[in-house]
Amino acid sequence: MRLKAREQRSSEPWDQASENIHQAFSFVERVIDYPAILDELPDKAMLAGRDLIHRGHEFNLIAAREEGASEWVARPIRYTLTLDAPYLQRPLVEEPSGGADPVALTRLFSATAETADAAFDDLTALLRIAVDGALRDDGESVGHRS
Amino acid sequence: MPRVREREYVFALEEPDDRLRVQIATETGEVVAFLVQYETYLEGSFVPVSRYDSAHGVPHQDTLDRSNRVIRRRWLHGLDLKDALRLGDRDLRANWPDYKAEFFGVTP
Repeated sequence: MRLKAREQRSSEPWDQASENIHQAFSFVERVIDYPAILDELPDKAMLAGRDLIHRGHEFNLIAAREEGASEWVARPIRYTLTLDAPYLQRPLVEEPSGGADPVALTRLFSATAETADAAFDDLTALLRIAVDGALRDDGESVGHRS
Repeated sequence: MPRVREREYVFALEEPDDRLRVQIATETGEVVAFLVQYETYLEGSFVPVSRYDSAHGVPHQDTLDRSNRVIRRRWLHGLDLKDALRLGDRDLRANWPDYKAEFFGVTP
């Protein structure tokens, strides 16, 4: 059985090359699950990946630099709620079945910068604000109902 | 007849001379094949060192020499695309420096 990446990291040497290799293979896995991701990424782009977990919302981020371009555009390409999510939490974007929509977020959030790391940092800040806002809204609406 | 569409991406490793090239083939919206290839810089261009590939109908790993010849092929029978990707992830993370050393040690 496959260990989650963060569990593997606790028991293996994990340097930048390991992270980048993991991100490349994970990217292909995510595309198998949601091929529509490819429609959001320019062909022949340079890619980089990063994971973000904030208050039980887990995002897999990809930054792309189009061939000949100087800027990186970071987007979330996968989105799930973890078991650690606060009880009241709902996904930021829901599928008709009620689950977290993994692809819709790709079109809603993006950040552009001169480096992949800077684009990731900007996108991470945006997503943290969105999660915190959703949590606050959830708390207020539940409070109102009670 | 459904058309196969191929896309290609590159992930850098920590060294500027090492990278992963990713190819994904889709047909009618489904992924039908992939390639994740570790490449290193040699004499002015990037060349393949080791790759996980789903061509030929069965996922496999190829190890290559400096003449671009496959010197070792490991068939991954019984593994689906995702299982092969997870194996490749673990293997390259653990062994890419060894593959590189072997690559530069092999006499073409």
